[in-house]
Amino acid sequence: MAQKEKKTHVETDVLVIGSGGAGLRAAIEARRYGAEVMLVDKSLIGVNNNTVFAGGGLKAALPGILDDSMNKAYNTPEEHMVDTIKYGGYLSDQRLVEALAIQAPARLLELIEFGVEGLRLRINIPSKHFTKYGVKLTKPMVETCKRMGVRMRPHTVVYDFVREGGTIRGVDAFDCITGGRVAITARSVVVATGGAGEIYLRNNAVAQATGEAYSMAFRAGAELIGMELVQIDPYILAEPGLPMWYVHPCKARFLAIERNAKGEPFLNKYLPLKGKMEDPFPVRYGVYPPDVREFISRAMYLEVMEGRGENGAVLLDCTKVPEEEWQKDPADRYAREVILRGMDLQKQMIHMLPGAIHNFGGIRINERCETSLSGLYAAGECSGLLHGSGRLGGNALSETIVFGAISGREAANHAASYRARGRGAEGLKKKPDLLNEILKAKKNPLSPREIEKKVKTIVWECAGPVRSGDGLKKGLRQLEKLQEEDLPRLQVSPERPLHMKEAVEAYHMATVAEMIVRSALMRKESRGGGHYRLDYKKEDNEHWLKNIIVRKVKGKMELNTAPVSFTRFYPPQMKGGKDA
Amino acid sequence: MLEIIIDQDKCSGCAFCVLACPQKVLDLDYDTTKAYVAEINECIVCRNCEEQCPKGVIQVRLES
Repeated sequence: MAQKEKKTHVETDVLVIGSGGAGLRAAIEARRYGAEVMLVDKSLIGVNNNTVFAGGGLKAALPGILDDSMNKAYNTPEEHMVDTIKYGGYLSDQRLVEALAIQAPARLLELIEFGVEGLRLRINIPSKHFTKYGVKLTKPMVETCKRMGVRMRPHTVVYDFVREGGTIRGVDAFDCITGGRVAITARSVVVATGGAGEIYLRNNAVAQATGEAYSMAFRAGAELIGMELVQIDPYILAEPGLPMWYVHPCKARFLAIERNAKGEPFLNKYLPLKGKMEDPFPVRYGVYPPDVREFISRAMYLEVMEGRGENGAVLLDCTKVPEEEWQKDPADRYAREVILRGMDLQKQMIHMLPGAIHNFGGIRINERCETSLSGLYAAGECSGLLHGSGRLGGNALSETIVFGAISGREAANHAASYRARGRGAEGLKKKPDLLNEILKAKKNPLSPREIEKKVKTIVWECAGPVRSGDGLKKGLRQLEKLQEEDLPRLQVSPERPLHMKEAVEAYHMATVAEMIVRSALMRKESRGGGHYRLDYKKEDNEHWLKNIIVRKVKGKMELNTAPVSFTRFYPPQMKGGKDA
Repeated sequence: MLEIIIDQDKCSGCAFCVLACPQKVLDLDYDTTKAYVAEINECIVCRNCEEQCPKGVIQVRLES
């Protein structure tokens, strides 16, 4: 039986949810502006988030300071801005892109103050943790938060926002170790919960990235934008007995060749060959893999769809890569020895299949990280729409520190003005408690993992690297059935708080899945790296140079389109603007 | 050969390792209130579990 409402009440000026790059940076900035800050995470603080496991670097225009052999360096913020917008297929909110490009250099240099070493944060910096490059970023920020007196609350699962009219007043949460309920009253709430990679059966996100904040924001009436736009990376292992994890396309593997089940190289059908097949990837195709990853993903997926896969995957052939190439780069050696468990790559090819790595869309924000609800801010991957329909490598981490800082400052200022008006937070009218609903006894109960598996399979199959109207409609019907028949059967024991956490995740995942599938069905074109439809293979600037907005109207999910926020750069064919 | 060894006698069942794992390799057995290895294949050897265990009773061993 549910332990009836033994609830702890806590209060803070600014509540930050999530302790990845954006959440940590937001907490620091809100403290700098004098606010009392509480930082919560459903896992431990700063330990299990996508920033920690990020493999790339940070992008910013810092000529002479930040340059990188793998990435283009920018001399001016304008160059950074133009590339970001082009990669995003002109769907980016340009107010956000401008904020990123202009503020990234200062935010990046400022990391040194927090104790971050090695500005590039890249794989050529020797580290014993090649799977956790991002620790170099998060650990010093966690220490800074501690020094500045940020109150930290790990293993705290936020499951719903508390709202009064159009204003967010706090959250409902529970401790997933003790099971104790916590009501947190906050004058401002910063959502920094990352993406929903885990909603895809195949992904390279941490298991925590289930995206419940998208659903909570939707339930509270906030607008979401660009939910159909999802980045899929090609090089995710599909090898039996090995983890579903990203294998970086670094130096030795540039010499590898992607093959189908017949042993034929197939990428040259999709990417024109610029050099010889024996050349390293960047010479072979004239581009670096991170710049065309979504296209490689599509190529791999189509090969498998068309029956040329082996055990549902394609093969990465490293058999001709000389041993000395593996020895050159410590990250290469690490991948082979640890992630691939010492697999004999001279004899065996590696099974690979794409997986989701980034949600471009999210809670709609402006350049001050304000959402459509007063008191609610969002920063990082959970927000939209900075990246548009494709992401420039390095922009994800830059996004966390730039928008983390903006959201922290704005949330602190909002909290200060709120205090000045003397508003208390007591006596709110409450809707039925979501967690109590989940804990109620059901006939034929279903476990969270059963529901989660169904959602993940539906989303991967219909809204993965290759989509179609028929597939998405089928997926939507399956989701509706799941919401009507399965979700009401979701049940867990209040004695098992970790299962309560999984139940909250599974419950919200169903809503996030619906947002992704409905938005993907609405966008009748293909664009950039984030959205490819077999039935509408071409980009359609005449009809689809628009953003898709999702929100709740009278209890239902409503989709609308909104014009893209162009400020300075227009697609070449569009009249009245300056070409990028 | 990869293995994660959790000293069952000393494990307090705090579940920090379960929460720290990015790949759901570990889980908590609510009957014994001990952590256990549920899915070793998914391990990426990030050593989060080792580092976060307050009792220091988890070892991730990778031998070639």
